[in-house]
Amino acid sequence: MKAKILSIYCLLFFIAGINIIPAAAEELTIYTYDSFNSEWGPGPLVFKRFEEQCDCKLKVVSPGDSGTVLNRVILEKANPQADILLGLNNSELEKSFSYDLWEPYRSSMLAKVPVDLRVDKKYRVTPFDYGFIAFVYDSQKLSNPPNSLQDLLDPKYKRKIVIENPKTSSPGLSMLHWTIAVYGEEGYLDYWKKLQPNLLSVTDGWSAAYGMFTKGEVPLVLSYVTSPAYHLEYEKTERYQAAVFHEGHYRQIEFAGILKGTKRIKLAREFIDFMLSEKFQNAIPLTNWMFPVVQHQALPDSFRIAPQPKSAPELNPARVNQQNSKWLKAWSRAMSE
Amino acid sequence: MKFHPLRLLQISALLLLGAGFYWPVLSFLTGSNPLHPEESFLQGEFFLDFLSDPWNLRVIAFSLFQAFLSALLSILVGLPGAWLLTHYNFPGQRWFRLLTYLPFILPSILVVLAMVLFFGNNGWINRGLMALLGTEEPPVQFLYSLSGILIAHIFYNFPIAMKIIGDQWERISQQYLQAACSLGVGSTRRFFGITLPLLLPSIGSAFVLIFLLCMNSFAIILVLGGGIRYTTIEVLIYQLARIELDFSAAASLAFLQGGLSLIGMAILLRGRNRRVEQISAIKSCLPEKLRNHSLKAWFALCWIILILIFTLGPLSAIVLDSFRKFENGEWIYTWYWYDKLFTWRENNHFLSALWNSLRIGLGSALISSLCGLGLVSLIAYKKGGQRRFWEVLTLFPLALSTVVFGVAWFHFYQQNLAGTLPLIYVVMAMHALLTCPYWIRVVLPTLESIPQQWHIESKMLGKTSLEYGLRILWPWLRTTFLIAFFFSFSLSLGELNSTMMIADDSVRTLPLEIYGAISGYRFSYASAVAVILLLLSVSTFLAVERSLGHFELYK
Repeated sequence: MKAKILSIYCLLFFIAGINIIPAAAEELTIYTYDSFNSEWGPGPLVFKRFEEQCDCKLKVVSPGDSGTVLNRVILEKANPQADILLGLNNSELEKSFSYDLWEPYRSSMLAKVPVDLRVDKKYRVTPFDYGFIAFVYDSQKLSNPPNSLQDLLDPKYKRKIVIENPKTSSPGLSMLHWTIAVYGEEGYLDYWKKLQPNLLSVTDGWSAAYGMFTKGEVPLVLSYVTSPAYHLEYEKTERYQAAVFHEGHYRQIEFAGILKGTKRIKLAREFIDFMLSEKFQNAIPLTNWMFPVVQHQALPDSFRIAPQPKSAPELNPARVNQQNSKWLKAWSRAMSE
Repeated sequence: MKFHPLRLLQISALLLLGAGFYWPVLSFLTGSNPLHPEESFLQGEFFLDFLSDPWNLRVIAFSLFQAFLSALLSILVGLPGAWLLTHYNFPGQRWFRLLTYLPFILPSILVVLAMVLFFGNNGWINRGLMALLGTEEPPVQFLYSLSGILIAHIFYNFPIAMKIIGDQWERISQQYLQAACSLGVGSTRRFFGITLPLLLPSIGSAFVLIFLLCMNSFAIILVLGGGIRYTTIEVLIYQLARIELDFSAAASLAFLQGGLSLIGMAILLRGRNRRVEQISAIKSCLPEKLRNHSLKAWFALCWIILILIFTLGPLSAIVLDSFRKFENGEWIYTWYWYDKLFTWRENNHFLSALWNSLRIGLGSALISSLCGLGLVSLIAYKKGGQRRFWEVLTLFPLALSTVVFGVAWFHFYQQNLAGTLPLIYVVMAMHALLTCPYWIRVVLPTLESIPQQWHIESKMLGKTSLEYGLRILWPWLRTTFLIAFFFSFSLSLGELNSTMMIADDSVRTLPLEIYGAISGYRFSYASAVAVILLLLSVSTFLAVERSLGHFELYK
């Protein structure tokens, strides 16, 4: 009896290690952030469409948030494993340039992308979607939403706002840059000090903040202008709205690029072209909840609730790269006084 | 000297620990920066710079302070539990024990949300109290401050204290207490004079473990602490490694944090190793004592109820949430998410993640048990410096920041292992390294409660070591092994930070599913996955317990 059970356990243990190894077709390796490739993200849809089109195999690796992915590519620089990095935002861009990671490619499809989204003049990276950070509010609890950054300082919002920490999360960092863009390096710390009493919590990432918001813990959360579209599309409700601020909103653009050292340059270029085609772009709004950079078709109906705000003045990426750690340091000191 | 089968375990455990942890971490830390090969990694300048800033010193002080306080409070909450479970029998106690372990399995994002759903300003407790008292302001507001951090840490960690201390309490002989009693010593003095000193080794063991865990805590400190005022070293490391991509500074800080933890451990692990007798206490029946109006029994009941509210509350908030769906502006109750989990469809990542979680969990718990067995035999019954050396050596993997461990490991993996081993075994080994310290902490106090004399006596009777192991050690340690195995398994199920760095789609696990669903706004779906995760660990616990029954050879 004992021997039997033992052998069954041993057998199970070995089976546990067996993986089916796919037949070797031409394989393109893509690194992306985890939520892009989750069941709910655009990954499963668009990667399959590409495989049908190129008659090749995609190997998709998603080792964490976009910071982790960039980390991994940087560590692998001497011995690159990936052909494409998909999902890098504007605040990480300059960092990636300083490590000289990219194989430039100017896609012919790029002409369709609005000029102001083509940030990189050397064509190292190509934008694929963009969005704006915004404060999303619960219209059942706030009938009179704030309409500027200044409004958020109103004492009536005391402990009613949740934001993400700039030190650990990308929307949080964008918020910090937003305030620097609006109030300048002289004024942003003052703004934050006045904002502090209104913050119930400053979370480690978007997930905790937005979770607290939908569970009714706070009526105001830092998220994206497109967040309400999710609730309209899947929950058929217009209860959650994005507040439009007259200072303009800070824009996040997401990029992809071909990594230096790739052995499948042709296929990689084909993917970048595909990324700007309708098969990829049309999937973006309802899976990644961002705006596509090329509008091949009208946005889904639920996006009527997502305003296209005016852009806030943007910070020069080189300056961001230079000053970021100084800003973060000053911010955490000012906020813990 | 005759070759002992235990030697094989000891050697392979040390090899795994050395090759899997110390070598990658040390070669990363002492090597040169992969991005700037001309620079060495650890820079004295950075340390001086960092330590000369009073703000940073406050961060260090706070990290140590909150970990110390959390460990202390977890032990104060766990101590009555240990007493209760060793002195009373009550209906459903096995389930009660199991229930308290469950928070361990949940990824931190869900623990945070569960606390908010239950204790938050708009949580169950406050809504109930507001309806009851007719007030507008939430009456219970302890989240989003230091007390929020502490409550969440206790919720997570008091079961460890309860387990480790309870195990030792069970072995304290009644003879001492009876002797003291007949000498007319009062019950308070009996506790402080006899019981407590005998329990000290296990209290120390639990304290160290919880202290280290809380030093590395991250999401709880940011979200439930209110975010800005409470910064710890781990938050700074994360910021440097993930946001600023400054590996050099991150590694230096991790080194500093590891060093501080080491000093803490060295102090806490000093001089303890007391002999405890082996007659287990006779348990009384709780319901009976309650009928007899025993004051102690009523105290026990109050404790059970409080803990049930405390643990069951947030957990049921998750379970309830998994049945909710927001539609047309209101919450409806539905099986929708479970339906979605188990129906076959293209891209059903859930089922493969379930399979991955199960096999990685079991595999790593098995490796961790074997490895732990080898290491524990090196520590047990040793004294003085030698003991402390082994203890610190085996505990250190816990003390290092998981973010930095992930980066160091990835670097090592990429240079040496990539393509040679199936990734799944690598992940198992990595999880085993991280869970082994727990295994050791859980098993060690119980193992040492077995008098060494027994081994000598059995030798004199002409029994082999194997026979001694099977007849004496195994029956004695069986339950402890089970719990230790289960802790390793649970920890592996919830592990996320360090695996993500090397993982690819072939080893996607359930926590990743949970994060993916939440990033896609599906919070309730994430709760449903969490419920499955909880069920998975409960059923594994029961299955392992059942099958261990078959191994009871000499009953």
